[in-house]
Amino acid sequence: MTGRPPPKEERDLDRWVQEATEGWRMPPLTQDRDPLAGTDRQ
Amino acid sequence: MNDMQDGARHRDIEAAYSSYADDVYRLAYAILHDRDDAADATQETFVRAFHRWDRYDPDRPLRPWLHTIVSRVAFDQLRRRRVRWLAMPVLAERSAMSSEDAYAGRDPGSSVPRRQAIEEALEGLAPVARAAVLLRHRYGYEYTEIAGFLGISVSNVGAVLTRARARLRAQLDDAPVMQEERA
Repeated sequence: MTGRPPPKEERDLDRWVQEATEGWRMPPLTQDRDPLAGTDRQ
Repeated sequence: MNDMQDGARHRDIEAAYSSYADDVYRLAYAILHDRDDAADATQETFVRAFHRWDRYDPDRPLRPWLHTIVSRVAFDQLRRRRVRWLAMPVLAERSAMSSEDAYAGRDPGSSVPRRQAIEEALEGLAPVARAAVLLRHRYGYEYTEIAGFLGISVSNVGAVLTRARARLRAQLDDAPVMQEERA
C-alpha cells in the first residue's frame, strides 16, 4: 500500500518530525569551513 | 564572469547560506547521519550552487533547488564512505563510536523525552527513508518533488514513506513517553 496516511496521523508526524529535527543545525562556520572557500571570493 | 558579476554572485550565495544553511544541513544529516559529514556536504552544496548559479531560475523557490543539490552531494558522499568502509573496516567501527554524540546540537525547547523517542525512531530508518520522512513531514514537499530529490520513482516514494511511517509508529507506540502522552 502506498497511500497517504489519514490527515491526523500526517499532522502528528509533521509535528513530531519538526520537533525531532529542530536541533539539526549547521554548526557555526570556522575559517576551514567557509561556504565559499575555493571560489576566489572578491 | 567579470568581477562585478562575481561579487554579486558571492552576495547572493551568502544570502542563500544565511537563509537556508540549516535546511540544507538537515537533509544532509538525514542521509549521512554524521555531523561532520553533513557539515561538509552543506559546504559542498553551496560551493556547487555558486558555480551553477546561472542555472538557477530566480522565479522559482530556492530551497528545493538547494535540496536537489545537497541530496546528490550527500548520496555521493554516502557511497564513497561505504567504499572506504569496505576497504578499511576499522573506519566503520570508529564512525559508529563517534556517532554517539551525533545529536549534540539538540534544541532544548520542546519536550525532551518525546523528542528523544522520535529521534531514536528516526535513527533506526535507512538514509533514503529518513530523508523522505524529513522532506515530507518537515518541509511538506509533494511526492513528485521528493522523487526528484532522491532519484527514485513517485510510487517508490509512497512505498518508502508507508514503510517508514509504520516503523516509526510501531517504535513510538512502544516508547513509554508516548504511552504517557496518550493516557
